[in-house]
Amino acid sequence: MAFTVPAITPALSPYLNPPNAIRGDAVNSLLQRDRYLFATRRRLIFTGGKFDATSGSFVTPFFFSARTSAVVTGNLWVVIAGNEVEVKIDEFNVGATLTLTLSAGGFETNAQLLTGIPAATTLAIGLSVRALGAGNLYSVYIFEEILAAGDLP
Amino acid sequence: MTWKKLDDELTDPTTQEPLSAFLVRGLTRNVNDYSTALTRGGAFAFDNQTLAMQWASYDQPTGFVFTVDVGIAATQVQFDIVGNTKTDDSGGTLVIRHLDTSTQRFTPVAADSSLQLRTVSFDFVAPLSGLQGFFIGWQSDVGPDLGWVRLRGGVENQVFCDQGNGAGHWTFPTAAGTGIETHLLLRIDQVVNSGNVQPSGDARRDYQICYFRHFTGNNPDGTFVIWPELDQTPAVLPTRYDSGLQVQGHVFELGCFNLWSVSATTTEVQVGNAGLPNAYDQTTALSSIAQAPSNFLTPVMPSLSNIVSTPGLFGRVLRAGDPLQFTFAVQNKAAFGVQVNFRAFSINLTQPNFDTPDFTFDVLDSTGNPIGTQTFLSKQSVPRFVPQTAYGASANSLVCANGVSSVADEWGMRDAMPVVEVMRPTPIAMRWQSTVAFEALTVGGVGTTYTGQITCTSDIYVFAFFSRLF
Repeated sequence: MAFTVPAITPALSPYLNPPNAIRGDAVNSLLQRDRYLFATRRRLIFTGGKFDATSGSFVTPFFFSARTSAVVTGNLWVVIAGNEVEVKIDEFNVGATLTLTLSAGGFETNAQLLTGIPAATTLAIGLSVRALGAGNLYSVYIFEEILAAGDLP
Repeated sequence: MTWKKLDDELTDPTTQEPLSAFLVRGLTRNVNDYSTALTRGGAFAFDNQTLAMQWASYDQPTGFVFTVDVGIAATQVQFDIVGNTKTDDSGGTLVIRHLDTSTQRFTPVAADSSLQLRTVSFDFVAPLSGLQGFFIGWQSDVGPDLGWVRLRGGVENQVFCDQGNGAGHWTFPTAAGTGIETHLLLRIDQVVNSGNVQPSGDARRDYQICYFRHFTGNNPDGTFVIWPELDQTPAVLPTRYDSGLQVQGHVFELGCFNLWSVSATTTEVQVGNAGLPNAYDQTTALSSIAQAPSNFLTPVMPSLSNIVSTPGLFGRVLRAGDPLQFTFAVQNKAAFGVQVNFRAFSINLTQPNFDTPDFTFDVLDSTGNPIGTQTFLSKQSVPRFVPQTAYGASANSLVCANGVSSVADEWGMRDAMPVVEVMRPTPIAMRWQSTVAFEALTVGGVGTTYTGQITCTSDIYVFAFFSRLF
C-alpha cells in the first residue's frame, strides 16, 4: 500500500468499538488520521502589517524572532495582501531571502515559498517594504508548509 | 519518545487483513507524542518605521494583552522579545502575566539602546491547551536627574511650569509653540521655607510626565501633562498659575522600552498517557486511541492572525466603516470556518450606539471580493475607555491611558494600560462559517488566498486579536 498524506480529513472506520477485533480497515483509518493530523497542523510563524509604504528604497518596519517546528519541509509560505507594493523577506540566521511584488494596483495578494529553512531553528527575520505606486501593505501571513509523505519522520 | 512513522506495508486493509499489534502500539505512541510533535508558536511585530511602539510607566506595569496558541498540554512557553531601551541611561522591568492563572514573571532589563533579544521562559502551574491570554507590561526604573524646573501651579493632570535659568535647570525639549511626548518623572521638591505651599515628603510628589507643551509667550512657560492626576491632599501645588506661588521640582528620566516584536513558542509539554488497547477480544476499545486524533484536530487548527495594530499602538484604532483585514490561506482543501476573538473599547462617545456597536465579518477572495455569507453581530457590549489623563481630544478620539502620540504634535492615544484596565472589555468572538471549500494554497496565490475583514459601526480600539480556522 503506497503511503500518502491524506488531502482531507480521513473518515473513521466504524469497526473501532468492542467487541470488534482490530481490523485492517479500522487501523488504517486511524493511521490516515494520524498522518493527516501530523502533516497538516503546521506552525504559524508570523502575522503582521499594515504598513503605508513609500517609494524608493526599502525600509524595514518589522523585525522579529521565531522558531520552526521539529519537523519541517524546509519551506515557509509567505502570503501578502496589499496594493502596488514590494515586500522583501530577509532571514539572517540561515541567509534565506524572498521578494514578493504586488504591481497591478487595487487589492491584490501574492504567495511564495521561502526556501532553505531548517527544522527546530530560531529565525531572525526582517520584513522590508517599498511602494510601487500607491504602495500600501495590508497584511502578511507566514507559516510552515504542510508535510508530504517523505517529510514525515 | 519521538514521533515514529508507522509501517503500513505489512498488511492490506482492503482485504480486512488484521494489522499487527505492532502498528497499534506505534499509533498509541504517536498519539501520546502529539503534544511534543505539534508544539505551537508564532510571532508578531510592531511597525518601527512609522512610529515606534515605546512606553514608560512609573506607577505600575502597563502594557497590553495578546493571545497565544500553546498547543496541547503545554507546561512552558518561551517568549522571545526583541526591543531596546530608549536611552542607555534607564532600564526597567518586563512583566509577563498569564491572565487566567495570574502567574507572573518579572525580567529586569538593563538600559541598552541597541536592539536586543530577551528570552523569558514562562512555566504554567498546570498543563494548558489551546488559546491562552497573556499580558506583557513594563515598569520603568528612575534614571538620571535632568534638572530642576519652577512649578507655578497645577490642576488635575496639568502642572504649569517655568524654565529656570540657573545652574542645573531643566532645558525645555521643544521650541515655543510645540509639544512633545515624554517619558519623564516629575518629583516635586519639598519646601522647607515657610512659603505658600509645603509639599509633604511622600510619594505623592512623584508624577509621570506624559507630555510637555511649550507655550508661546510667558506665564506660564509650559505645561506638564502628568499621570496620575495631581494629588492635592496634602496640598502640593496651588490650583492656578500664580507667579507668587511657586515651588521647584526635578525632572528625571524614566526607563522607556521600544518593543519591536514578541514571539511565543511552546517549549515544554506534558506527554500523553493513552494506554495500549488489547488486541482481540479487547477490553479497551480501539476507539480510545481513535479519540485522540479526533480530539486534537481542533485544538491544533492552524492559526491565522495574532495581532492587528496601528503604528505607535499595541492595538488597532478602527474607525466606523473602515475595514480591519488579515490575510490567510489553507494548505488542504476543506470547508473550514474562520473564527476571530478580540477585545475592544469604544473611543468616540459622539457616535450613536457607541458602546453597543454592530460588527460584520466577511472573507474576501484573492481579488478582494466577498465570498460566502457575511457574519453579523448586533449590539455587542464594548465598554467606553475611561481616560486616565485628560488634556484634550483629537480626531474624535478619547485620550487613552497615560500617553500621547508624538505624530504632528498631537495628543492621541498611546495604549499601554494596567492589566485590570486591559481586562475590562469582554472578549468578542465571531465565526464565519464556510459554505464552500477553501482552495489549497498555490504559488502566486491567485484564487487560493483569502482575507478576513471586520467592520464596526462606531469607532473602537481593537486589541488582543486572534484568528484561527475551525
